[in-house]
Amino acid sequence: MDIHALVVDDSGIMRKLVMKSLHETQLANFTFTEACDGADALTKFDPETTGMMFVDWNMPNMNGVDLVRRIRSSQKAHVPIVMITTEGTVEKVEEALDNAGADCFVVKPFTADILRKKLEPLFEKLSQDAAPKKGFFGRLANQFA
Amino acid sequence: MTSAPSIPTAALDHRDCVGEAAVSIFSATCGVQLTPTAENDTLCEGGVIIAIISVVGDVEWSIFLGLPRDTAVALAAKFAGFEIPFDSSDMGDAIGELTNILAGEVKNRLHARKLRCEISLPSVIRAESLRVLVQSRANVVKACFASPAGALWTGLTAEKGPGLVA
Repeated sequence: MDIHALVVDDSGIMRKLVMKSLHETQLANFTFTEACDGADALTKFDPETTGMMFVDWNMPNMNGVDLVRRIRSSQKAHVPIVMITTEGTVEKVEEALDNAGADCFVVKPFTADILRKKLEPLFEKLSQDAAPKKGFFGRLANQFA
Repeated sequence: MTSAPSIPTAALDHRDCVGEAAVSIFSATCGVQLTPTAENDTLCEGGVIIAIISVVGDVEWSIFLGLPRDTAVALAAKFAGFEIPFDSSDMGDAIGELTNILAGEVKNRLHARKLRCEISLPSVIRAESLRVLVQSRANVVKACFASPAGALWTGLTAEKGPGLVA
């Protein structure tokens, strides 16, 4: 599976670590675009090419959860969004997942193994969504996909 | 969703969260074990990098992480997975992120004690010789550590509030 991911973090080192860890998960053939905050990410987000987003929470200009809300409110396509942040309290997880609409939540620090375990359900769903559907209505849906 | 009521807390109650968080996050991010040592005033001489994060809410703190040059170079390499020169912008970035992770862990530990707070973005200062000055009415706690990557210290300042013991 090829995934073009938008990695959003105000730390360049952290963006590199996220990209390196994603390669190590071997969940997909990743390519990346980097953004240094939420406002930068909005200008670089392309609904046609952005297949997944990895978003920090605490950033200048526009924080991660506000970015997720903006993406969710403006895009019909549901790009998978993973929050990667030091914010690990139950309230913050609920705010990101239930309130803003992120799909997955990873607390720093993390390893490639932790990332893989967190992302596997998301990739299973992506694989199911991408698989050709069977049956008459499935073939009909494939034609219009 | 309802939030739990605030619990009044003295300025430096729960300061153990900072040292415990430092031990935990340096093990997780850099694979090094920190060992508490006696206070060492020479850690700011010959090149030092210090990152500061504010904590506001049920506690009002500033958390410091101070690394002498050699420790910073060793730990940044372990954290990032590649060598980072002390004078590069990446060094400030790496130590700022380590401090962000430290403050996030402190926040999570405070939260487990029913204390609510938010953390700021990190500010990073690098110098050949640096001394941290704080307001005279602030409480200050410094904890020094040894590690295989070198010595480092964490600092915590908290303003004195009404009713506190001087």
